[in-house]
Amino acid sequence: MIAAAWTCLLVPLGAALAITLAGNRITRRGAGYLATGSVAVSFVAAVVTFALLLGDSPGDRSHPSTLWSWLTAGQLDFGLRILVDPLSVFMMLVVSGVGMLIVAYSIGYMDGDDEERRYFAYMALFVFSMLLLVQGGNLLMLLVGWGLVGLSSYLLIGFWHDRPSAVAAAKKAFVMNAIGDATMALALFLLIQRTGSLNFEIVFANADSLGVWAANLVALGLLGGAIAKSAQLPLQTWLPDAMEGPTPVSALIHAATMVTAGVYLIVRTSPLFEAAPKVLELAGGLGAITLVMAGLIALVQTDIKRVIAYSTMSQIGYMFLAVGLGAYADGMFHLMTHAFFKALLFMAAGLVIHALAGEQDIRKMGGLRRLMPFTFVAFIVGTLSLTGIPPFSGFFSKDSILAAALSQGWYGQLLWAAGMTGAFLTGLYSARLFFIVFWGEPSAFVREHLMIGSHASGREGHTSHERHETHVHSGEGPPSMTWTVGILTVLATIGGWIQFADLWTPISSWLDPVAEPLVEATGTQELVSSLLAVGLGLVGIWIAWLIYAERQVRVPRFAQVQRLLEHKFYFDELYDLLFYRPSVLLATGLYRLVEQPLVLGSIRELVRAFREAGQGTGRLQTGLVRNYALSIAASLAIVTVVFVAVR
Amino acid sequence: MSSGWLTTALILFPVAGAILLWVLPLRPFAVGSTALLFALVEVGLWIDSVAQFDFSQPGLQLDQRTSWFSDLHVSYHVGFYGFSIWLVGLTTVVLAAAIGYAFWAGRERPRAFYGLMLLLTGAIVGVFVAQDLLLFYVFWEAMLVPLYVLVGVWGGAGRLRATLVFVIYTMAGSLLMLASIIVLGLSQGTFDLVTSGTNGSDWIFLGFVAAFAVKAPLFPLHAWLPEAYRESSPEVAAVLSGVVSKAAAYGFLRIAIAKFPGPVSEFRTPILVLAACGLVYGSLLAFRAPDVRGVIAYSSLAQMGLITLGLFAVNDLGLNGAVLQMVNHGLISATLFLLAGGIERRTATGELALLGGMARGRPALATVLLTAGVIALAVPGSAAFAGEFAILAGVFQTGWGYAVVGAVAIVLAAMYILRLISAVLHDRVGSAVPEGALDLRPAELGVVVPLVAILLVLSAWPAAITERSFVGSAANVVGRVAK
Amino acid sequence: MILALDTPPIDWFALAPTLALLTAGALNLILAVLWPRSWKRPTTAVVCALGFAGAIVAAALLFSHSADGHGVIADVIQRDRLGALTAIIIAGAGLLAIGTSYSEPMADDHIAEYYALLAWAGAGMVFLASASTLLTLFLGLEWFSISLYILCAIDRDLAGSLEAGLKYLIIGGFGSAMLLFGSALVYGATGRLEFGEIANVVQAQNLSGDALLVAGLALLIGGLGFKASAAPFHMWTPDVYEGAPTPVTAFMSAATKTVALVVTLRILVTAFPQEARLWTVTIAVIACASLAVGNLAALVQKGLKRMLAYSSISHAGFMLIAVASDNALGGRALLYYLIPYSAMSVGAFAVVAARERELNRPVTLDNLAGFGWERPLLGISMMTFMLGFAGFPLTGGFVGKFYVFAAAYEHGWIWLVIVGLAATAVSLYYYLGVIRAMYMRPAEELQLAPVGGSPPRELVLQSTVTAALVVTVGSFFAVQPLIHVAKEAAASLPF
Repeated sequence: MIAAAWTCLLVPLGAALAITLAGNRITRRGAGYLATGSVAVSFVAAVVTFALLLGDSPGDRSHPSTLWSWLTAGQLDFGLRILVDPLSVFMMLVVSGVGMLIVAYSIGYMDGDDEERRYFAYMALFVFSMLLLVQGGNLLMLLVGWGLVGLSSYLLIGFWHDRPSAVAAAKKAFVMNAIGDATMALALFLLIQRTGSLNFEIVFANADSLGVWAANLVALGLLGGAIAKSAQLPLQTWLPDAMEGPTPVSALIHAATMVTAGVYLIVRTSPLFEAAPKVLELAGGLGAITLVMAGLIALVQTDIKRVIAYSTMSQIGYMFLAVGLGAYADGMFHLMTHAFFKALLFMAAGLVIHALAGEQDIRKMGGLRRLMPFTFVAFIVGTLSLTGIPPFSGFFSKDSILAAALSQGWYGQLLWAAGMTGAFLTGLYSARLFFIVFWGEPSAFVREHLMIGSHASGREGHTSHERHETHVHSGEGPPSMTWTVGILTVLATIGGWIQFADLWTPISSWLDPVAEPLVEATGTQELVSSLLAVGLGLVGIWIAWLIYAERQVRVPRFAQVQRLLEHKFYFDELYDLLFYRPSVLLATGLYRLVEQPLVLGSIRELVRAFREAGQGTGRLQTGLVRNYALSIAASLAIVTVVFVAVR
Repeated sequence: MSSGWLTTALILFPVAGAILLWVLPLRPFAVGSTALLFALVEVGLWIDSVAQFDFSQPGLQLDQRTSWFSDLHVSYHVGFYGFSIWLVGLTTVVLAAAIGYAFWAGRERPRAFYGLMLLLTGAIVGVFVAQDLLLFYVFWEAMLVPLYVLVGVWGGAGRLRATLVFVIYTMAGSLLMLASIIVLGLSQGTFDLVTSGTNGSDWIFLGFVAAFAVKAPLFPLHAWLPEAYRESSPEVAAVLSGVVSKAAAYGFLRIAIAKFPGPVSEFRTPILVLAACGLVYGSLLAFRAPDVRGVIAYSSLAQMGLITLGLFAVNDLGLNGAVLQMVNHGLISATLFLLAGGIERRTATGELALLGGMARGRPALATVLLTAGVIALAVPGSAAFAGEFAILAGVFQTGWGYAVVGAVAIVLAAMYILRLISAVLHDRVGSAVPEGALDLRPAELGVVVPLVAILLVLSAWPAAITERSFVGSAANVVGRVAK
Repeated sequence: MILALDTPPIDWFALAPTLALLTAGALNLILAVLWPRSWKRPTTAVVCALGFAGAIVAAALLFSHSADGHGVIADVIQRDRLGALTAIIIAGAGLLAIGTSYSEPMADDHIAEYYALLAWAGAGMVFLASASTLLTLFLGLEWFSISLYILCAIDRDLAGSLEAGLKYLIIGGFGSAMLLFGSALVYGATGRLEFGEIANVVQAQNLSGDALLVAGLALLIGGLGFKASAAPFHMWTPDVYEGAPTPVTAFMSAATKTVALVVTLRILVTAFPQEARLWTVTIAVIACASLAVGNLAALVQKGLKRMLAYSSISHAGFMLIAVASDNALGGRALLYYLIPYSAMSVGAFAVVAARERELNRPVTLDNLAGFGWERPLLGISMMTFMLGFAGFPLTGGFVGKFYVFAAAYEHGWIWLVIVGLAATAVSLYYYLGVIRAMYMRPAEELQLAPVGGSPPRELVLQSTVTAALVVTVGSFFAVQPLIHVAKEAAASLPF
């Protein structure tokens, strides 16, 4: 089992190194296959691990394994350590499974890009990092994986590095995540000081003896990392920009896996958070606010990927809400289903973008229903699942979260209300997107690209590459893209059926030993929230139908509101004003006011002073004998007088 | 004892090489290759010394001692501790890389140049192995002479001023140390570092600190740094920031901290505050620096501040982290300076505004620079991260405020390194970047890749150093070193 | 009838070094008359060299056979290791000076006299080094001074040579006068001439602090400080060093300073131990003044000889620190320091001489440009001398400074150590400036090319410089034996 787990972890890394070192000795296609193969291997390994772990009794399903000491200092010893337990295996399955599909999809999607090798190396590196994150056997290894996924996300967002916007977005994402890393690191320092270790079992054992302050600070530090990674308020602004990356990247990193790491972190370190209940509630609250806010912003977005990005943000809000209330299993369940349907949505969008030669503006789209029937179906499934309409997967996971909220006193009910609002918004914006893109008559742009047989190879940012090689458009994309989308469509449909309320709960029973839930929703609560949520979702869809499909109702116009939403509540501007500019000002000021005049100037002045003193002494040397004699006599006289005086 | 000769050989072998180059009338190519050969053999000697060193034993090893002048009890005494062996390794490796780079780039008056480089190697190694205060000072000063000429003769346009400021500034600090050495040595009747005990005098302590703080440099004593790093040729800059600065950090560890427990606890706070200031200050200036070298220069100011934080935390995490970080930063800044040299050769400028877009069509350059940069910004999982994590975790226990400042600096580091990377590699092609600018040549790769490779190995296994720097608890060992 | 006056027993051995040099000088005079002009230059040089070599040998023997110092020839001179070692240093400097002089473009007609005077100056110094009475003190002083006055002025073709000689003569006369007057006062106070006796009388009659005595002491210090060219009695130094023929400057800078400092130490320690509280402070102050003046003025000099003149002033300051600290370690420090210092000083001036002959014009920092690359050996040597002056390791200069400061610390004067270190820091600027001029300015900046291409390698001069180099560097590694010798020599003083 341990061996399988290590295999699962290390094979993608090997692939990444191999592709990097091979350089031109490996074909682009070969790189793609190598990457996909490696992820496939780790998926198989994950399945094996899972199967073996099933064999153990639920009590002892926790198997740490240390390869060697990674960092030591005197008594302290932080090992290169992984932990195989239900939670990590759960994540391993999701990551490697979805990852495998998306990397395979990329082979078709990235076809023709002149730096495919680099792309697949980065993808493999990401899968490794993500697996390290979820398998890490102590908080340090978790932090390492945490940072490495940030790195790979940086590399992949900025993959088209001659696009300034992409580079800027990549930097933004990395720096914001670095803030999270920093707060996490501080929490870890505190833990080291208090517990003398970072191994989960030891740290959790001492969680209650930390003391209120320490406990709260630790939880806050970890939460900081979580919200940065999962793009929750107030560190959410990087995620939309991250859509500069290739669409498969958005699907894998910024929808299915990395951005949900925050949820995993909270569940993994739940004992620490339970020692600081207020912080846990804060997490839930942030999630609630984020999910509403993102839903609102999504309403006005015109970029197909950004709409989905905001929906991701809002869905993760649901997960935070869940874990914030202690409904860990529900959160993880939604994480899984979300991975399915959100990856599906992105990859379907990818098909559209690919077909439209990299166009992402939905205002130019329309009427794709007949032209891309397969994509159309996939998109329907994705949308319904996202909106939480039974029997699609989203329904099961989201509603159990809402039910849990309802059972949690006034605070829970507050969050429940937010969740309900979110359900309505979700229906609205996802349907809006769907109708605009697929309904109605094909737009001029669409016709130009799809009615005429051939079009430029569909790569975002292809414009930045000089050579426009065109190839005959085979249906809705190469098979490597379509069959993966197909699989995900199926998963998004049935993925939710493996857990239904409290009648049939394999996931809960699988995960509960790791993180005991703090809430149990009653059947009535389940029923109420389910009905209400579905109802609201349908209302949202209906309104969208009226506006965007039937065009019976014109879009309501509230200029201020619209501007507010289009500027994403002015967070970017705010941060620019609060942090970036001051730091730039500070740096420039320090250079002008300290470095130049004081640090460097002092030397200049000193040298000058000495040279002047030298010239002064030089001038005493008149060259006239009488002056010499005089000065000698004078000084002698002084010495003599002094001697006689003090003798 | 015979194994002590190995230590002596590590000092004398490169010096012999230098003399050989000066007396033999060799062709330029032969000179370069001979120098490189000597440098590589030196690395081999170091590996041998690692093989002979028993990391489980505390105390001095591979030591050799002969009286130099007896009436003041000064002796030639050299030997290794666990932590010093890594710094010697860093020295030999970086110097070999620097000589290799120069060999590839080609330097005029090669005999003088390579001779001085080898001389410098011997001197720096001497600093790390000297176990007698006066001997330490001798090597310390001996470092300065080759550097003065290397910067002054083979440097850029502003080299004369740069080199003069560098030497006089550092000498001013060193002379204060000489005063401290005289007072300390005569007052306790021996100049031997191993047998001599601790001392409680603040002034003596401050004399040493002055020398090390200028050499490191610590904020605000870094006036010599920007010009020296900008004007000297890339490989010399690499040695300056990679290795010479570590001599100062080593001095803090071996003398200032080990010999003056009292004053350390007394002056710890001001020193830590200065170091923290330097950390942020350097990071901010690196973030605004207009040229490649400026970024690297100020970042190494920040890094020295960080290392000092770790040292003066005076606990296991801090000390181990500091030693690890010395090696990391030595390799990183050497790599970055050599790459900067490669970029300047291709574009004839270091101005970030004129650079950009070099990644396209130059995968090797992109990959190496990216890797080095990512390690430099201490992305979790990198060796530098291990070092910074240990240092900050250590100083956190001294005062959480320092760790918070350090955390801020981590974010700043991400900002300035990414700025550097994208300004060189990404965005639109810079006006100074010729279409035909080549990718890294095999020779350049041969010089830089080994450094990066070592960094990657260390990233996989930082404990290789932290487990082997001190026997048992570092804090105690420094105490035991002090006796 | 025959007046029989009893002559004291004469210890010829003790006089041997002096006699060797006197003989060499006399021989040269004879050669000057008898010898064919074309042979003069080599022959006289060799004779003079033999004289100095003989002096060295004799002094070395004297050193080994005078473990216990005692007065000889009616106690007018002291036969001890201090004198012997000083003689060795002086004679060594003389040898190097001859090497420097050998191909100095001087008119052949006076060459024999030149070497004769060189030998006699050396003789006078060697004699002075072991003088033990106020009388012999003055005798030796005048003896070598007069020879030097002439030597400075000897090259009539050299611009400023005559002026230098005249200046030196006048101011020098003034200095000698002070010395003589001082001696008179001391004699008046104590009625004795022998250093040792003066101390005893002051002890016995409890004259300590007597007005005449201290006034005399002040004047003596002044006179000796003048010869050591210590501020504020240094004024003549830059002009004379600049004007005099470079080989003469080389000899003066090394030998005169050596003997002056040693005699200062001897007379102060043996004759005025009771006045220590006065003269230690005075010497310390003089040292500081010399350090300040010498280093600051040197910062802005363009002419190399003038710069070196100021540097020699500052070194007088460094070595006076050793004298001021008034302890055995101080004596040791002084005697050790003098060895590398003399070598570096003569060597530096020798290099200057070489460059002068290339360009036949005074050497400045500007026309040194590229010199280091054109003449590797001379360049490396000059660099080493400069680093030695600046007190960098791998030269005796470092160990010398170290000992001097150690002595000052042992005397409990850390402030003096600090002053010395500060002065060192300042001095770096101009010492490194020379290296910069030689190596770091591209040869294009060289305004003038060597006259008629670079001249033939001067074997003698180069071997001289090499010898100086060997001493400079060797004294760093061979500290133990040299310190041992210095210790023995200093032991002959009553610390």
